Amino acid sequence: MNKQPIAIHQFHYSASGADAVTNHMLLIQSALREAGIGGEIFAVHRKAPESIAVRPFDVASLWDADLLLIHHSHGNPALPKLLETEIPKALIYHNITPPHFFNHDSHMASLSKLGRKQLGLFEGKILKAFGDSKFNCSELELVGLRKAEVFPLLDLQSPLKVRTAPLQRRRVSGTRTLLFVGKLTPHKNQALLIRTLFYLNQLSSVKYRLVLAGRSDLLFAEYLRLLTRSLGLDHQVTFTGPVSAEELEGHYAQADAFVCASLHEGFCVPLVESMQRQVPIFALPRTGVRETLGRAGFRFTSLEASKMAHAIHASLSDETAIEQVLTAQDQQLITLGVAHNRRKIVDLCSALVKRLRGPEPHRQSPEVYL
Amino acid sequence: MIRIPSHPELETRIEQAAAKSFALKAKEITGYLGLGERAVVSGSRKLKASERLTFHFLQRQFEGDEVFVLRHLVSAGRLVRSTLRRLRGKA
Repeated sequence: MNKQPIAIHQFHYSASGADAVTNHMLLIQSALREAGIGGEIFAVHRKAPESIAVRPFDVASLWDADLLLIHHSHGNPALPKLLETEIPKALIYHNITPPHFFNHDSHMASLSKLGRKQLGLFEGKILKAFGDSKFNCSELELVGLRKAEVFPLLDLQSPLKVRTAPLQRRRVSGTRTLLFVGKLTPHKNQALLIRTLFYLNQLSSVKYRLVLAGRSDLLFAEYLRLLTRSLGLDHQVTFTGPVSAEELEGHYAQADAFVCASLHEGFCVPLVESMQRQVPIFALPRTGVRETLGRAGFRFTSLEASKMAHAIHASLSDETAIEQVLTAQDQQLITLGVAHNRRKIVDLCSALVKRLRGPEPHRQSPEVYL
Repeated sequence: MIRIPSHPELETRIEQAAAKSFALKAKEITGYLGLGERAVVSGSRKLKASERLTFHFLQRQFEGDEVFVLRHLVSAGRLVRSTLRRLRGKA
């Protein structure tokens, strides 16, 4: 029986301070460490601040782990080398935005094409395939990675650090604030939200504003800015650029609704953030959004800006409807919490290591021996 | 216009309210569905000439057909940026 402490390393091609995959790797590392399981994070491109320990990728540094979790979210030029290593591996698939959304950017389009093509390389080379949503698992099944399982993307069983008072908040000002959080990029379709805002401001004495929080694809951001100016909405649309965690809390606290017109999402974490902060959600039920929303939220049935505007205005003017939809969002949060929590991360990883090491005679604290 | 899977009875109420206000506006404004597009066309005339040209290409790229030259411009931009970064790194 192997009594060495367990170590599970993680790899993603790039790691920065703010991206969703790096946050996920940090969550996994922290959950495993709490359970006495060690492991490091490796990346080829490291842009993370020094406070986040990301080691440079080097095959020789991986030898001391029981398992390597390979996060895959776009093309990974280091993948062939990685798959040749003898260390047991598991895939965590974060979804790859299809290349047709990057027709304006050859580099991003080729990374997307490469990433999707590389999914086929994992077959026969990994112990287990995971996706961070059922939608992502279904994409893995399509490339032959059968029995893919959902891996927790978030920890929804820990309390939020900040809570706001949503009902008071909504009655404070005469202006209604709509919020979307996500990179300004074609598949997130913020242009439709700006066009919807134009119609909303034709409707009644209630004024609407739109806050678009997130980083930018430069060309698409320029398009959105010029579209905003053409529609005379310069003072009603705010492009925040990248925001800190505190600033993001501030935006959620001021939002009367979260609006999402995304055409492609693997999971859409901001939907969950809105549920946690009791912000009513309006969304197009496409791809991963449908699953994350469950039966909660308001769903657009039309891509017509004028109709979306009337639907939002009628809904936000009906306080009973908002209350009942918020209750449904709370229930969905509980449902999501069953699959997305720290315990589940530890259980899934431990089960894989157990398969590799053999049966567990007993557990020792603080380090786990299997 | 809207679906509320958790509360079908609310869905009917909201749908009716939205449809009613939409019908009123459509009656009040001729060509209501195209109002936004007309506003974009007239509003873009107020942009500076260079911005108007940029907007024309970007709108075509992101709302309709692909503008072939854009991807080459983006690639050139990436090349310039990475070269500058490399040179700065060496300096």
